[in-house]
Amino acid sequence: MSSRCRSAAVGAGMLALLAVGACTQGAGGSERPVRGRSMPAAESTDRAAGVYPGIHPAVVLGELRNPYTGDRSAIATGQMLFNAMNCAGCHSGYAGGGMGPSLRDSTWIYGNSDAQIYSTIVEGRPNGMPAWGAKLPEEQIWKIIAYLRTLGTSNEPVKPPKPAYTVYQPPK
Amino acid sequence: MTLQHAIPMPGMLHPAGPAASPLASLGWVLLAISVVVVLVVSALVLTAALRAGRESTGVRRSGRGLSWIVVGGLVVPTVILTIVFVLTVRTLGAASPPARSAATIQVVGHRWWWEVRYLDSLPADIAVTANELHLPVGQPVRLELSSADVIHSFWVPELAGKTDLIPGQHNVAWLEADHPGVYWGTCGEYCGLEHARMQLTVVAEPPAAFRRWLDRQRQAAAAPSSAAALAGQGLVTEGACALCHTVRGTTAGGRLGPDLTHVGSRRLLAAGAVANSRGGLTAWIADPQGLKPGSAMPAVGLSGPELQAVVAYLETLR
Amino acid sequence: MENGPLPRKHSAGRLTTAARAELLLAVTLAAAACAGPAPRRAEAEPHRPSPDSSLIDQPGAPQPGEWTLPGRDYAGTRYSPLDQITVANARNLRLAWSFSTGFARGFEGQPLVVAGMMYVVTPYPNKVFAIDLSHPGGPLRWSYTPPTDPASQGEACCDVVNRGASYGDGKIVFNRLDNVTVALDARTGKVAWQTTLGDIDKGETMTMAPLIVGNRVFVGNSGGEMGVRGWITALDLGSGKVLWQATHTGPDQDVKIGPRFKPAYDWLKGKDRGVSSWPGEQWKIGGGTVWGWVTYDPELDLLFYGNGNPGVWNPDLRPGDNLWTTAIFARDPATGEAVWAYPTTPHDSWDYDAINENIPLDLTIGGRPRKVLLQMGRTGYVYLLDRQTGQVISATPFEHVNWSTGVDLKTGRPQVAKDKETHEGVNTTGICPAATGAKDQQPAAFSFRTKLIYSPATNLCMDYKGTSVGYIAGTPYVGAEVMMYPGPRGNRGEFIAWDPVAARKVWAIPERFPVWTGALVTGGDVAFYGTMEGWFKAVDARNGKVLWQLKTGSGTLGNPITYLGPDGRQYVAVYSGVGGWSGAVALGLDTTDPTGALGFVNGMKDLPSYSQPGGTVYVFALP
Repeated sequence: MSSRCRSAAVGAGMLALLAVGACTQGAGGSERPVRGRSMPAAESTDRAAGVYPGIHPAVVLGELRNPYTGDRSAIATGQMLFNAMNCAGCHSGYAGGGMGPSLRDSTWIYGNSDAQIYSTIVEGRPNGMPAWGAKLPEEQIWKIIAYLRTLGTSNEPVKPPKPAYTVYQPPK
Repeated sequence: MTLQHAIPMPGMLHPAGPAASPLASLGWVLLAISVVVVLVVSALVLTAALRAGRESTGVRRSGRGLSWIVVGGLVVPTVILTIVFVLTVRTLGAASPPARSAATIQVVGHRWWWEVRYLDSLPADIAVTANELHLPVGQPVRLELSSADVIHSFWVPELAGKTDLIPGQHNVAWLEADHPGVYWGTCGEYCGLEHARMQLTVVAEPPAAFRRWLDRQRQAAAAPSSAAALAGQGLVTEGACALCHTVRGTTAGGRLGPDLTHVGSRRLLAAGAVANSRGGLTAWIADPQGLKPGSAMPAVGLSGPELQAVVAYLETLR
Repeated sequence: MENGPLPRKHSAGRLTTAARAELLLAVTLAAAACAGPAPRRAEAEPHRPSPDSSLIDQPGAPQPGEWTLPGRDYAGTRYSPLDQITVANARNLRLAWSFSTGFARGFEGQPLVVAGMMYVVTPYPNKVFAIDLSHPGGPLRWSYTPPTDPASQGEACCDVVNRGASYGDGKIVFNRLDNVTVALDARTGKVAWQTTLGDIDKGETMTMAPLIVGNRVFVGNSGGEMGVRGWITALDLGSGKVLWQATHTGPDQDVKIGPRFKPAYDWLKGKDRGVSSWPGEQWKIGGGTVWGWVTYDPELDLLFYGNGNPGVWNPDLRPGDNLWTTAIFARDPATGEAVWAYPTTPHDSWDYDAINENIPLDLTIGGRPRKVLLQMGRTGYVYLLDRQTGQVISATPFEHVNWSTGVDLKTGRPQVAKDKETHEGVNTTGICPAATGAKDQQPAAFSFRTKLIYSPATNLCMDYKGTSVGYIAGTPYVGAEVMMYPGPRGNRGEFIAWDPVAARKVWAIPERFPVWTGALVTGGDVAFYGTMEGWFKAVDARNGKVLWQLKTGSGTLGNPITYLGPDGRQYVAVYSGVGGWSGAVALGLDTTDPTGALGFVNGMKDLPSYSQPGGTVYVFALP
């Protein structure tokens, strides 16, 4: 290829990359959560007919997804909100539980899908979880959930601290 | 989005108080000295260049060149720098905080607003406000500066130089105004997306007026009387507003955003981004991200009548 | 049931009604015969049992075989004159019967025994069981399940515990977690009255055990971690009507500070100090809750109790002395007027609630008889106050204390160590004792025979960092990141005997975990306590030798009692069910967050290996 042709090709390639980059950047922050009121699509015929126990948010909320999953900036905001909105008051500063249950472990009393956690926060729950739906904007709730997903992983924005002593020894 | 102050530019050349005038004077002196030095050196360089151009060949030794170097390169700069040093030290002394002050004000920088707290030995007399600072004319006030998140800088150019607000650290600055007026302040250290809209209104008023203002700020919010304001109070305390804002005298005790107990008496909103009028307040609550994108204030989704009620209530908080 | 409590004195099983009545009469007559002239209090040397236990006067106490008030008597001494179980035979104690409540949360508090019935109040939902002791196996006479609001579980800072009931005028009176004081007819279990006193939407709950004095019931609220304004209320025992209510912050009128109020120190004088010692309106969410024990001195006709922390744990949010929180109060029980108050930690920065029991004692201090009030404080000090004036006679550390160098007896103020102050954004490390204190609500006992105080104790220190927090009604208002860990020597608890006159520890039994049960001491010179692993122990009250122990099913947090069964034998009862603030980690919290449970998780990570949840009443007796 001639040098001019080459530089043209490189230029076009870079432009293409930029375009792709812009597209993916735009997708993360501005996507709205998808809500639907429809019943879930008919399952395959392998399942027995009947009514199934357990929480099934798809029935009411549709396929609710967190638009901020993995978004580092949203996770940082979510961590700030977790403390500022006093989730930390009941669930402790790093969500290990206190008055409320631990959010760091794999036991989720009311379900651990995006939709289930979202509805738990919005609606409250009978044994003491307050209802935040009327007070916290939807966007902030999703950011908090994005933060909760990072607990105990390497993406956790602020790791739990270590105490200064294992056993306190008074100074000599 | 335009800024709401009429900004005197450049403010530091119009000092209005004893914390700023020594700095301005020093600035002018240094400017004068620098201009003279630049002119002299330029003249010398030009002369040398022109003379060198006319020289044909050969090197001419001259003992006089050495004295030029010694005098011009060593003696004169030493003298000038010594004078400048002395002036600087005297300026630093003049600009240092005075021993006694009329008030001690704690200023905490947030992204992107100023928390202002008038301290007092009697805890019941501590007053909290935001984005606006009042001081009595002719009396110094002491500022204790810190930050809740990143480094900001406290800068009221007509009244003082910059002092940083550093998280984990407590810096001290002071202000004094020679004449009453409204002075413009801003954040002087880039602190994020809305750094440009983190402005501070500084109002200097006669001591009696200052006392009255401070007493007012100490009080809890007045109870609303009109039906609309009552409805608005209910929305503020029971709804999203209370999660982030404090209105003393009600159950709203949030600390994420500015204290709203006397928001109606402030000149501007959102740290200078919005005028404090009915229209400005309504627009700010309805669409904060449109006016100050990236700020922590979310759109809380009030309906039309709800918004009107909330605005009616906040207007009563003078 | 091979090991069932078949009474020895009767053949073939059940007592007839007539026999039961005869027995009751006999016991009553015997008790009446034992009541003699007023006791000689004070002088006798410590550790030597006084020759005649029957001369001990315990105002407010029922017959020797019963237990009708949380602390057994008005003074809260938790002393029982029963002496069938002695130092010599305690090693033969064995399980007589047990009763599973069906609930597996923290069981603080104690059962009551009156007229052959045992009354148990469970943690949320605060179900009440009336166990018929006259039948083997203790079948239920009745049970009562109150309609306690499930949402109240979300407002309880430190597990959904209940600290017990009081008995008076044929009624069992207890508090529901959702702020309702309930009186049940003791025979039938029907609700005699119930009074709603608070609102869970404001973060209020009620966990304390009421005290009944005469025809008044005294109750207090909880919620010092929820921005609640604390109060104490007097109700009429007959109708449940509110007689008076006093808060602990705010204007003098609300605190019931009036002409009778004579504080011992100048810095407590002045008008409306409950407002002026707070910034802005912080006193309205300023804590000072009454979730511990209330005691009473009939001689002075004064009610004694302490109140809790000043609301938000971050002290920078409330500059000032924050009166009248973390204070020991003396009030007139009829009107509620405050007679004196002593704040143990003005501007508290460590959560050192002053809610521990205050035991009125007549002791000889410095050669002269004094009417004192003794509190084993959260602060780590044993406070001896003059109970007439509220003046501090002494404050002696009973565990490692470094937040203060001592209480200045001239001013009554603690001398705070500068490096142990806490502030927003600053992590203060190595503060001893930790926020839970050297002793928390778990109550001590006093033996009239040995003249010693028997007390559970905790040996924990902490890191404490103030954080920014806003007040959101109904949610915690704390603002502190805390982590607790063992104190010097590494044992996190001990059970101690304390000589109040000599002001020193006489003996101590170290324990792996904080001792969270109350103490019981008897006329047989046997002291009882339990550990958070679940070991229930009988020790020699004179020298601390462990005489007997048995591992119950779950950690013990409750206060042991002793009573006479209808068969005339002495029984010792205790709850077994781990939880509470200290045991929260055993209820399923995550040990990867050391700040959990307000800092306790870090200090108790190994607890789940030793105790899982449970909820059983254990009753022991000699064979």
